[in-house]
Amino acid sequence: MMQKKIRNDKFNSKADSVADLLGTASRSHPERLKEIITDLENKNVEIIYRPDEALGYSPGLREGTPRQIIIHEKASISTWEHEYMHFLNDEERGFLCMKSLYDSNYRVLTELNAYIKEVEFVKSLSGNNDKIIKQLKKNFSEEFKYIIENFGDITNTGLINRIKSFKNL
Amino acid sequence: MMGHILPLNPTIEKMSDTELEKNFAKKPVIFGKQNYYPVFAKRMDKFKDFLFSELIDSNNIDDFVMGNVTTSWLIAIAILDYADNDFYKTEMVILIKQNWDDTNFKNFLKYIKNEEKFVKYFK
Repeated sequence: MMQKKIRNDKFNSKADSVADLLGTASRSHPERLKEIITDLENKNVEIIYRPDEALGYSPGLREGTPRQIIIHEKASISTWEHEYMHFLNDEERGFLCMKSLYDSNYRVLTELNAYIKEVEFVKSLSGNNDKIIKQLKKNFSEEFKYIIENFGDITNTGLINRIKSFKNL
Repeated sequence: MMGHILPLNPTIEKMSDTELEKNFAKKPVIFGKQNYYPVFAKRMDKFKDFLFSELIDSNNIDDFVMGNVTTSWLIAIAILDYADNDFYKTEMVILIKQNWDDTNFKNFLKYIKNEEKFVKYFK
């Protein structure tokens, strides 16, 4: 997937900054990881492990078709939570499949939710992790720019206000 | 009858062929680049060469939109979803086999595996 770009969750130390801090989820948070994987598997999400630097959530092609999570074998718990958030948001909307890809408001919303989750998690850790938080916010900004250039501007004013708050988080 | 998979942007759909080309060439593309491909595919007689060149453009092959889904995949799905001439679809499959690497091709087939009306062109 991925010429290892950061945008769209490309996995590298910038895309998974928390991996440098906590290491792989299976060691740092094995129970939470098990919960996430169990829920995904029970809901027929294909989990595709990749040895290369790839990750992301793909909605199904059509209603009832398999959704996929592509994830690095050694991804951090923060990255797992990020991709899991995309699944949960998709589930809340009743799995709109490919149509959700073209909905900028939704795409930005689910990225925002995922990055807020990551930033709040990093803030809960001990130590000075400002650099990681800065990187996560930068990743969100890049995703945001990509989405509006590719799928059109967002129109939801509540969402715009949430983005402003996130930048100050 | 199953509906279409990709949405058509009503504003873009109303554009003339000339407006489509002109607006797609703008940077950034007005109304979002990805919204044009289904409309181009619907007008395949006019835009076949352009869409095929976009389909095999290395920037689009490497451009991951969400998860495993690339811009090239979305172009292929747009053609399968909206082109009304089977010959274009058969021609597209040949181009894909010639220009996408094996892993990318297999991942795409895996993604569309339940959509029989798409899969039949790859058999």
